[in-house]
Amino acid sequence: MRFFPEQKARPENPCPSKSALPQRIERRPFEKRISRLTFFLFLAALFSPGLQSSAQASDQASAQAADDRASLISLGHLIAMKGNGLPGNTACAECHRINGGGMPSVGIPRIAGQTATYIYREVRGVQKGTRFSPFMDRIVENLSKRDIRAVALYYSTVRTPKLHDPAETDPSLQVLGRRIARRGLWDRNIPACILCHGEDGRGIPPNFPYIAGQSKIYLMQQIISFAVVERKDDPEGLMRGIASKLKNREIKAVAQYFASLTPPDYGTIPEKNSPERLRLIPEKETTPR
Amino acid sequence: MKKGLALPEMTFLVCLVLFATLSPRAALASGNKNFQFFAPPAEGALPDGPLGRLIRKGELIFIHTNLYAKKYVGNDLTCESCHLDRGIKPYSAPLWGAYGTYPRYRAKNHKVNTFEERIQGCFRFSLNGTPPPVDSETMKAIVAYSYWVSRGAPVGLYLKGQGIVRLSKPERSPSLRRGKVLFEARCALCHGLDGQGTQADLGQVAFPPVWGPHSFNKGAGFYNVRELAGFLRMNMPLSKGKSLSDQEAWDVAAYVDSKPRPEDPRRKLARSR
Repeated sequence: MRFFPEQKARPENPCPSKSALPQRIERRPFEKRISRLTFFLFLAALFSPGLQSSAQASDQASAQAADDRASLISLGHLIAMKGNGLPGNTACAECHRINGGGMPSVGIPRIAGQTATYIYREVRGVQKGTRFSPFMDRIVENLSKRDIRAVALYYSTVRTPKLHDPAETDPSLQVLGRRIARRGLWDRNIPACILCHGEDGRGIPPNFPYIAGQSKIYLMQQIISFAVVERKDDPEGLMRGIASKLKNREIKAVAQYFASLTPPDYGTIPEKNSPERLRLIPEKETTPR
Repeated sequence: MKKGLALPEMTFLVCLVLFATLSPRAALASGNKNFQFFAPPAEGALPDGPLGRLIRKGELIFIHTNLYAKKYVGNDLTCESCHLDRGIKPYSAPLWGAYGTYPRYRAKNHKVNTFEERIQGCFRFSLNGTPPPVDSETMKAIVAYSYWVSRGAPVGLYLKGQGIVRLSKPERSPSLRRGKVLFEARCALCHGLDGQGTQADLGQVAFPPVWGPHSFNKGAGFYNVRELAGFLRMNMPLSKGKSLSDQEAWDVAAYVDSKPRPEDPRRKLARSR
């Protein structure tokens, strides 16, 4: 109990000097204070790791993932520019260009904005021989899975406008091409291209790539490649079946139609179409989004 | 000279024979096996004026049902989900096969149904929504489009490819276990392991969900395993119809129909009473 006898004198002294203020405060014994302090410190030490882990774990994980993604993208950029340094591995940019626009005049595909999952699948296909590519198989031979993942992620984030396609177009085929693309030739069991490749060929990621804005030569090459079963990495053999039913004139027409469209500029997969849900991953690997 | 004279006559004769064999009535009624399917007259030349506009609207409803008939649709399906190629592909309940067969008595609701009432059934069960009234613009548009693709089809005759193929009973009774394996191997690519379909880039429905809250309800025709199996047998996977065997189609259909989906609206009604 604290009691200050000076206080009683205040009414008599309207203007108290400093000496009139309380000078001595009764304090708790030092030992008692220390013991209480240690007790609280102990409690704090007991609870703090738990608190930290519950509140910050998710933050840390997402930060880690973002870090991984950034480092993968920069690694991918490096490989795209210079190759990974192993023998045979040339820079991707030699043919696909650093902006991923490809070379329409010789049929090297545009890969900018294609989803990382799809690019990964195709490069792995070239490595395993399911996708026939006499140029690329030597180049990607020495890429590790992490390298492919990095390059795929890099090119999926690149935004590039459509390049000029010097292939000659036949205006009389445009109507037929549009019909096959939007309506299909169901009497021969050929569905409309847009059913799987999306409205205006913008793709239904991750299984079905965009084909709008690819060069005419590339699209024709690939359809023929499916038809003669040089390329056999299409899920369910869907494209092999369709391509073998198309006639030359129709291949030309449909390639020309999609080459005339504008490519989309996204490389992301809609939330709903996670690769895990759609049985896409060929070898049980986690692929970057 | 003789050859030159004979050629036009020959072509005329060939045309005549072709016309005789391919004309719908002769071929369809006689069950000619060489005859493929009824094909609607070439598209592209819609009549001018209100009728043409109505037909076009019906076609749009057919493709984008949840855009053009939004208030009548209760799930993520469209007409084209089941009636492939805008209701023209044989064995996927084509419109030209249905248009000439109504009015018809149906055991489903124990009464004689008109074509409009049949379409209302589609909306109520397969689209899990509310049926559009018979005099509504939506209904008129769909009927007009059906008429347009059925021009030339005989009324009241059996047409090859109409409706959905009726499979005979499988050798082994359909198994959910085999169905699950098949579904995950061959269907999950588009419909997902959980059957909830796929989204396109802007969030539209790309491949429809096949069970769950956004799929057809328990009153729909496809809730009948035999009917769904017949559809799968002839049409799925897209572009590779007939690649599933009868047994496989039964298994997958049984698996899909064993999954949860919205309640039959008739049962709901009965319960609330």
